[in-house]
Amino acid sequence: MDDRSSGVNEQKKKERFDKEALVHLDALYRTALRMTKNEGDADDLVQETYLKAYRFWDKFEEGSNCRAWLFKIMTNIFINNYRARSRKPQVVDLEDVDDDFLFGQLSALGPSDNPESHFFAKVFDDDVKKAIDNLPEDFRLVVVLSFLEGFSYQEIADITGLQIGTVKSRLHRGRKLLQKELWHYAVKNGFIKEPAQR
Amino acid sequence: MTCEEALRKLYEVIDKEASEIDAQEVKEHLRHCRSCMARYQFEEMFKTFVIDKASSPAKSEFLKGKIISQIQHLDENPGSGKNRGKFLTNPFRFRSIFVAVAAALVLCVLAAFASAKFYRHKVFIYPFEKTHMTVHALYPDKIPHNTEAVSKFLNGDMRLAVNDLGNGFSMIGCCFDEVQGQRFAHLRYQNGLTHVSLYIGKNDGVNLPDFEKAVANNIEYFHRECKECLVMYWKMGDALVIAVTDDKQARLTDFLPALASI
Repeated sequence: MDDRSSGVNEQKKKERFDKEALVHLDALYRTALRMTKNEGDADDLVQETYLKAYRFWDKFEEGSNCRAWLFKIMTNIFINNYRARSRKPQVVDLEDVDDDFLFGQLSALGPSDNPESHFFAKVFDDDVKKAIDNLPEDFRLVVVLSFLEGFSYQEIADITGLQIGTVKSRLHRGRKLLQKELWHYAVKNGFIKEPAQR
Repeated sequence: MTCEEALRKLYEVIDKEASEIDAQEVKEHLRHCRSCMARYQFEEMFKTFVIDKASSPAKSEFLKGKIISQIQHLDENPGSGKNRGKFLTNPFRFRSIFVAVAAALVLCVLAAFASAKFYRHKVFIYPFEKTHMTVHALYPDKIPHNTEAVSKFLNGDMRLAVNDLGNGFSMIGCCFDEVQGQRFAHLRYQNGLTHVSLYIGKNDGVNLPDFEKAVANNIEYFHRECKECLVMYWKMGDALVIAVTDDKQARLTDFLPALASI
């Protein structure tokens, strides 16, 4: 292949990469922020993801789900490089989280003043992000992929390499932990008066 | 449908993962049940609330410029670290689903051939199969959990982590075993009734049998199905990993997450 035609191919490759892969940058960065919990690491993680994706662009099958492919690459890098650094045993106390914890707490406040809307209206964006960041990592990843990125259970299983049952149970527990976290936050900040123990 | 059943399907319905029939039945139940309805509405509201608050797009314009210029740089210096680039210090392990499916098919076909060659496995497989299947009998009280020493051995020599496998398998014990006179870490995992033994040690000096070759996630591995177990081995850097499992459907990709830290 002479120089000119290889140049043309490179150009085509770049155009396709731009059109199909780089359009997902915002989404990847959003999830990277929640995964790494800081902007510097999120920057690096997304860059590494794209460089790896570009190197292996010929392995990507045209027409298949590029977004899921990119998230899988990113999750792999995250698990291999970033998580290993701060890998501590995760101790999660789930015993005391009822399935309907937040719902129960809010209902107990009484029907008259519509406590749910009150609660949802009071909490700020950053506080929700903080509450997500405070989730143990295994749950955080699944919650972010499902809630923020809208991936299906099957797609999350493919991305994380988890079995679908594990995805479901982590998502379930992740929800509970998130609700508990937000409840304590709302009580602490006086948005809501904690009712007598139910 | 009872309230209990309806609430069991709660998240699947909200996440739009329930089957049409289930979703229909739940809907029917909610029509008559105010308390379940309230719960469903709340959980739906909660999900919308989180999405609303946390999914504001991140500002990444600057990052895009950086990535494009790095790609440019990559193209201008195609030789620089084609295989050993910064981002490839960890071997790249993602291949498309098709390759995994193909590998599984190859595995099935080869497994059929494998049964004919059954007796050749005795020297290599048998010792593994035996320790794997009899580990509970060998240690009737409790499987030794020598994590610290094993972890030191793996981190010192092979930079591998002692973790749960991340696919439902959790570690139930680890100790040292010998493979042809060499020291190997033996990590034992369990998921329900299924067990996996991973033997990890130096890859030089071990006489490896000629199992069927296959490739998954860019990793070449060798496997053989025998009477009770599936045995696979592959090399990771300077380590040799031998996996023995009583789940004959297991595939190499099942064990990679935990071993990815090499």
